[in-house]
Amino acid sequence: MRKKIAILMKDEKYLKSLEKFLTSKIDDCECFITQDVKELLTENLESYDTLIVSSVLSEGIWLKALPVIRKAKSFVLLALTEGPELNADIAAKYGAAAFFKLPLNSEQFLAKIKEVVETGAEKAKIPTAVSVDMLEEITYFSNNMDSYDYYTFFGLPQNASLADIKKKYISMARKYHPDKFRNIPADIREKAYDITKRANEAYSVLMNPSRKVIYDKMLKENPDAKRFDFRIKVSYNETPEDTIQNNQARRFAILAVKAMESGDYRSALTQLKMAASMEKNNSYIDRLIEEVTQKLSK
Amino acid sequence: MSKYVLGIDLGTSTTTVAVVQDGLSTVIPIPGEEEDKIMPSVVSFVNEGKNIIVGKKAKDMRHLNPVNTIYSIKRIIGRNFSHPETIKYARKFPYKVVGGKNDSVEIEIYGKRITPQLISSLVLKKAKKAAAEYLGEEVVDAVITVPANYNEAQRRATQEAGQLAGLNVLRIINEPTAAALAYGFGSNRDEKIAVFDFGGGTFDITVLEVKDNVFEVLSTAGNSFLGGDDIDAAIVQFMMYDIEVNYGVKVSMNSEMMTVFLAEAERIKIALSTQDKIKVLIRSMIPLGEDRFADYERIIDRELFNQIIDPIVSQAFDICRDAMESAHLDVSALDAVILVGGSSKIPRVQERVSEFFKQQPYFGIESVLVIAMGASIMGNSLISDYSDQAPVLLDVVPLSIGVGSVGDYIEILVEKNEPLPLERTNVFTNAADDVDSVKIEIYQGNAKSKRESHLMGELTLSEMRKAKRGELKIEVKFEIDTNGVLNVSAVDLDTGRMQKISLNILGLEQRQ
Repeated sequence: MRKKIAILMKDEKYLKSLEKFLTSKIDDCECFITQDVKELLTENLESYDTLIVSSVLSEGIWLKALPVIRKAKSFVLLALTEGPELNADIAAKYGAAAFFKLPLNSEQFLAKIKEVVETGAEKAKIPTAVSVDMLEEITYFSNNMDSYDYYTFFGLPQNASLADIKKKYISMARKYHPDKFRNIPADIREKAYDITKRANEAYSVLMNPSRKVIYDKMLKENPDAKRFDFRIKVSYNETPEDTIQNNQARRFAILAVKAMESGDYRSALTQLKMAASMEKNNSYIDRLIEEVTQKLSK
Repeated sequence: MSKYVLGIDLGTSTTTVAVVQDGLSTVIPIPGEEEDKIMPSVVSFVNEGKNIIVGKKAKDMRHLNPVNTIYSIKRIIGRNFSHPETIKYARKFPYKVVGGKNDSVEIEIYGKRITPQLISSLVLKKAKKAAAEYLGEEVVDAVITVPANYNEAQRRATQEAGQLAGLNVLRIINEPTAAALAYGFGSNRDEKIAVFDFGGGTFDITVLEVKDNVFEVLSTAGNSFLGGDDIDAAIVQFMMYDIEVNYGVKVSMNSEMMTVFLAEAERIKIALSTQDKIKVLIRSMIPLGEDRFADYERIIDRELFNQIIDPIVSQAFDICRDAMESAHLDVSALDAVILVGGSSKIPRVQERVSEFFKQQPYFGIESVLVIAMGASIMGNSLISDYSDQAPVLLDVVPLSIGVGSVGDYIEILVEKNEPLPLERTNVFTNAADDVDSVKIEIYQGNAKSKRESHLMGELTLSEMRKAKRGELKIEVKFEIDTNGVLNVSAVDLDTGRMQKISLNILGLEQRQ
């Protein structure tokens, strides 16, 4: 797609050379150059991927022109030696995608402009892509998730059933999976990516009975710890049933799970009790009994 | 940016491309190829390598130009040269397979060495060109499919082939998931599906759960050295024994004979997918001595054919049993079985699928087109706006990843079947005073023993801070992205500085 760049600068010579430089270095690039901010207003600025503004436009004109400047998808500030005092922080505060001081390092400048032009093109898609509420939610969630344990992360109580955890996990995947954010600016996409990674991590722990036991114990003993230490190895590649040593008990547990799936909680409970009598203190069996008892009491 | 994304099924024996147009997946015609859309993944170098032929014409060259005609490259792409299976195929292929740098595989053509990635890229380039002609504009974005059990190096090699072809590979997705997408599962249904993919070179079985547009892989298993080619080989084997018994001649195959017999075997296989019997005729190939040759003639009927191929087909069902077990499902819990791949067209295979899964499989969409169509649907959703209707593929780690520990033992870092993307960290230290670098072996496989796993590559921590033995604490982050590709980064826990780290994958040439 054709890239459109606008440049607003007082020094005509510099302006022309910048235009020449960019059009020769960026493929399929169109530049609009002007020395006058009013002339910018006659242009459809929304269609520009980026606007390059020098700060020397008389006294802080660029500041007054900010509402105009911001119409472009992104803008880059250039601080000329004789211009007002500017630094990267101030530029960022006003929403500049990048800030450069003269003399320019042309390579760095070009790389940055190219990057800005690309993200500018992406940024344009935000309104149709994700709602503002959603953006805020993602930002809030990714900023705070380090302070959540896996239950808080999923918004579930500690005694949530496997089915509930799975349901919640799937609904989070539908919301945050990185494949849905391919068309979204990189910073948002990365946040969604981090959330997905954490959801997968939580799911790997809470759905694995052996890990869950260790994790629950950790939460109890050390409330500051939020994440599972995957260096703790539970028996490799095991199924929940594999934690049951007694063969008979394991068979009963498998039958019980089947009965639960078909909604026959009474038979399930009988089978689980048989299993529990053959193998005492197995956390998986105990948890299933709890789950079934809860269902029956409803 | 184009509004199209190509969905490409880069198969062992054939390649197909599809694209979503006006909301519907369409297979892109490739004129001159089989049925004008199924392109053999074959590349032939002619005229001292100055001319390159791709597709059906190249496949036809297998007789005339066996040494310079490359087929089934998918079997060895991204593999280590020293891998026993590579060696097996290197012997079998009439073209010259040689070892390159870093235990990679290379092909020698007219004395020049080229990578399997380049061969695949030539196939992809032709697909890309066909798409441009059909759509009237160049399309660079693509989703390429790979077998679900592809390892790290194979996935990377496939990505690289795409890049060499000038494609921007948005995503590598698993073939079975693509198939499920093509059948429109996920939209309003809540189902458990098995995808039985018996292709030219590989077999995969994947069990998926689909609900509200979320595709969750419950388990996947496969054999990347089991497919239609093995069926052809079994038929050739039969013919050789048959000649020995009935003509009293023990045939030793040269590459020209092998090509002829393989072509005949393929013809038999295809014919018996619709007919009950076929007359086999191979002219002047049985040596009778003194430059005299006899024809080979034989009637092969469906029953005999089934007997010949059953040992190969049975292997697929052993794998199905494993997959069902690791998904904790009985076949009765499956709502659908989807048939994918050319070898799934064989009636005997379909019979045995129905027997094993106790239900009639789906094969409404042409089994060789279904994967490309699914890939195009995924591709289209990737460039679309955020939507609840977009499919979400919850892929899992295909093979466990671990680091070599003492003796034969592997310390597992990431277990098989954990959901992607994910990250795990592990802390490493220096084993001696003031060492500059530490090397860590990375294994991939489903065993805790080095001997039973595959040495995937090596991590190198370099330019390390000077410290006494055991004093350094370097935290290495292993991140596996949605494509199943591993990335590593490291940090020195005491200084908080990034530690220089590099990952070298065996079987791929080292790049910067």
